[in-house]
Amino acid sequence: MIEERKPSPNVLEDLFWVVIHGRGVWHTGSSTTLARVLAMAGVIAGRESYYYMRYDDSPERVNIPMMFYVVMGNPRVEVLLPEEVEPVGRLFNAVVVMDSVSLLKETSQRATLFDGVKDDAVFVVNTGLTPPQVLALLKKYQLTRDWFGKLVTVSASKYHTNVAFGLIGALLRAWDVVGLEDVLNALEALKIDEGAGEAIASAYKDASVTEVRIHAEESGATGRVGVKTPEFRPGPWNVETYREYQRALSQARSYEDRVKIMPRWEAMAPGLIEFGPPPGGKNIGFKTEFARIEAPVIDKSKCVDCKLCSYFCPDGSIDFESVEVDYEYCKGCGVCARVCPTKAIRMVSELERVEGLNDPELRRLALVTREYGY
Amino acid sequence: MSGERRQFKSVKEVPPEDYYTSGRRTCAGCGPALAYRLVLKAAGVNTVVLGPTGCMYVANAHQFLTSPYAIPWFHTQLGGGGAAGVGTAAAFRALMKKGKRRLEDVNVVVFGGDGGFADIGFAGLSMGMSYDYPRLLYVLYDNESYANTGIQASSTTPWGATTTFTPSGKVRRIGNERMKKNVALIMAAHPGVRYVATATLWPPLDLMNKVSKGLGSGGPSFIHVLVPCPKGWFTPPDLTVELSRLAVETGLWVLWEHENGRFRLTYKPSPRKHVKNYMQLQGRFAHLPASEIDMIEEVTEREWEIWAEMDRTGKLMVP
Repeated sequence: MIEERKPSPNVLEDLFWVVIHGRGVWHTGSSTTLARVLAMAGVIAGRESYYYMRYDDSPERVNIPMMFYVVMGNPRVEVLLPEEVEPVGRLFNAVVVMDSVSLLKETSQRATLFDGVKDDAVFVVNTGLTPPQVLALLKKYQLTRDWFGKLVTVSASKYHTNVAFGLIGALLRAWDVVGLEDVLNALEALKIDEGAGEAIASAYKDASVTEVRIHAEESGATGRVGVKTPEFRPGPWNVETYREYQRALSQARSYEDRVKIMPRWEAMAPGLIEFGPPPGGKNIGFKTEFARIEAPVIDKSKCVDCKLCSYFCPDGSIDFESVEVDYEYCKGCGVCARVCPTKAIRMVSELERVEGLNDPELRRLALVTREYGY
Repeated sequence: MSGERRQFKSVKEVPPEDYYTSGRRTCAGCGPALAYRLVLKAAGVNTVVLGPTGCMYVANAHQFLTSPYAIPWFHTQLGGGGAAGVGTAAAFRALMKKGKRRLEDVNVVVFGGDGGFADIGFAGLSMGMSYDYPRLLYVLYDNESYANTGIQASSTTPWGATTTFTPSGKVRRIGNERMKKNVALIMAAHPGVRYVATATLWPPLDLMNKVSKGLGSGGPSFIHVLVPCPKGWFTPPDLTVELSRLAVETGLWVLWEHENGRFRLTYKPSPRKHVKNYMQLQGRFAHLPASEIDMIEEVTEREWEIWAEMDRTGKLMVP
């Protein structure tokens, strides 16, 4: 007998949504574990739960910021059409960040970590930094509005090689949609052992929770960069029109902004033509600095100007003439440091290069074998 | 139309302009992206690029209204790379004959992955190689799996590799049990073919010089490029060029060219390194015990006798 479902007047109150931010391929495996366990725990706690990732959020491109989602609904509430739950802008109750470099960066959707996040959201960050340091980074790079939630920091690789378990323990500390008991049952149902339960329990004990009350004005954030949407023009377009849109796209700071900038389809009729850069130029509409975990730093005193780094750069981001790194496009793969015959190029953590901070959790990222999600 | 065959002697002579520029969605350390960049650098500005569906189509194509290509590019269907290349070259020839376009050398470069050229688009590629259009170059960028859809085995996946379709397990321990298809040898066996070569990212300039030779050969040409894929080979992204070097130095990837009916090795590793140097770096071979890696070494050793024989006689044989 199926229970009759009735629409809830406040359906978003009944929907619990977790978003996981990590690095493509490096964190695909641990994100899958985290999402599976949470979703199973949600089912055990009596909620309709599932997890998913979207192709556009790049779970399978090395280094590229990626996202996983876990949704826990109330089975007694009918699923509503998207237009009935407007505004859909604020969905996420909890945000899990797998590495502290993500705190400096945009997501692959050109958005901040706070995009689509509720005002009372819980942030869980896997880092060796202290909560005030994390908070300062969030204020500087991500926060553009009110936040009255909780910040939990945990050094998750201390508990298990798979950082998912430490992060689950930390999340449970500040979030009560599923309990510790549900998660331990979920581990049993999914046949995950290898010390996962102990890892979750001890991370639950150790995690430090900080209550955060920040108003937009006092956050010190510069605020969202206002994007000027180019005026709509009926097609066909010429190169200048495209350049105008591409420049606007490069300034967008949220997914909503990007959608706003996209022209109506009529503009592109009769054919879908895109104008690339002129020879010698670069794709100004899509900068790829968000992919960088480590950054190459060139010691000019050791450089013998052999041009091998420029020749072998997969992203063409080392200038041929000046041998300078273009940090707007460099993805931090490290090929240049490998091919340099005089070892003039050194890879340093992006967090260290930009902020001068040293996060031991990031060093471990390079040491542990990468897990794969498939 | 005369063929220009510029050969680069040093990295410093390489033109600084990129036609496949920065600002694209590829992985960090992407081997195919580097191959694209170098091939198009060598081809120059007067080039039309075609790409059948594959990892590089999805990665390099538009993100909203942007494109990394500074030269004309279009996407063809997965099986249609060969036919689209012939069609484009034919269109240029017809327009020039009718006087609707000024006479000039236009390069048509078709990039196909191992799915686009070795499996699904193989028939079209073979058809394209049997025509006589000059300045038509087919480049097979071979990352040894269907990397776009999540590392499934293709017919160029090497023996023993773990992929999604051929996972190493308790019952079928080996992983992929098929041998790697040698597409370049098959292409060289086509009648009247002018230039067929294999290449990888290392040694520097080798790939660019081969592209230059192929485009200037006066007929359709084919280059099979081995490109390391950090995601599919389970390697850190900084090893991309290092793996190319080891593939050549261990003799697992043989660099040769077949020009106007004459076969020639373009790089002879001496002494040849043990294949374990190459295979131990890659997670996809991690399940293979030392005895099986030694077996691959033996097979490679025997194959190299035939490669050396081919180099002496200049005739094609099947190793």
